[in-house]
Amino acid sequence: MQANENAAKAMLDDAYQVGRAVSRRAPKDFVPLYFWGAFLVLLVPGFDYFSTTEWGWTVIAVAAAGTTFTAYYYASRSRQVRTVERVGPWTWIALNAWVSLVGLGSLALGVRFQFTYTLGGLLSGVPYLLLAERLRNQV
Amino acid sequence: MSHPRTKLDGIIHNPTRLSLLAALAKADSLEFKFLRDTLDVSDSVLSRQIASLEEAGYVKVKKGYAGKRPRTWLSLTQPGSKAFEEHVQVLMEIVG
Repeated sequence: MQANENAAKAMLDDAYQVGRAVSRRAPKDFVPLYFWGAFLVLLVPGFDYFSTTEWGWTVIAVAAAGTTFTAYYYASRSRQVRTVERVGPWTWIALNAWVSLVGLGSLALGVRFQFTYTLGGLLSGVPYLLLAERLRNQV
Repeated sequence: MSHPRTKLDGIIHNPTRLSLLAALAKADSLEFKFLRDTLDVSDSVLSRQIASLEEAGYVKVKKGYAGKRPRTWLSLTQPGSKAFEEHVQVLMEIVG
C-alpha cells in the first residue's frame, strides 16, 4: 500500500515540476505591462524638467527599444509555448486610448499649469502597473 | 469499496504520458522539441507516447512551419483535459 502511495506521490511531483517548467517558459503579459507602466511613470515626467526636443528623442529611443523588446519577448516565447492571451485586444486598446487622452490633457493643461506631465505620467502608467501586478499574482 | 487505483486511467498512467499531459495542461499548445527537452526523452520515445495519446483522443497534433523550418505543435483535447484532471484527482486520493 505504501508503495502505491509513494509511486502516486512521485508521479504528482513530476507532473507539478513539468507544469512549472512550462509556465516559466510561457509568455507572460505582465512583463511588457510592467515595462510600459514604468516607461510612462518614469519618462513622461521628464517633459516637465527638460527641453521637449531633447527629452523627446530620449523617449522615442526608449519606446523603440521597448517595442523591439516586447516583439522579441512574445516571438521567442511563443516559438515554444503558446497560451491564450490574458490581456485581450480591447484591454490594450483601452489602455492606449487612456494614455492618449492623458497625454493630450497634459499638453493642453501644460500651458497654464506646472508639472502636468508628472501627473500625466503617473495617471497613464499606474493602470499598466496595477494590471501587471494583478496578472503576476494570478500566475 | 474499491481501491482508488482501480480508477486510474491506464493510458495516462505511464509516467512519460502523465508528464506530457501535465505539460500540455499548462498551455494552449507546445512545440515538440520544447516538450522533448522538458520531459528529457528522445524524439522516438516522445513520438511513441504522442501516438498512443493521439489514438486515445487525448492530444491533437498539428504540423506547420516557422519560416522554412517544420514544426510540430501539440495540444490537449477536451477529453484529454478531463481524463488528466480525473487521473490527478485519483492520484491525490491515493496519496491521501
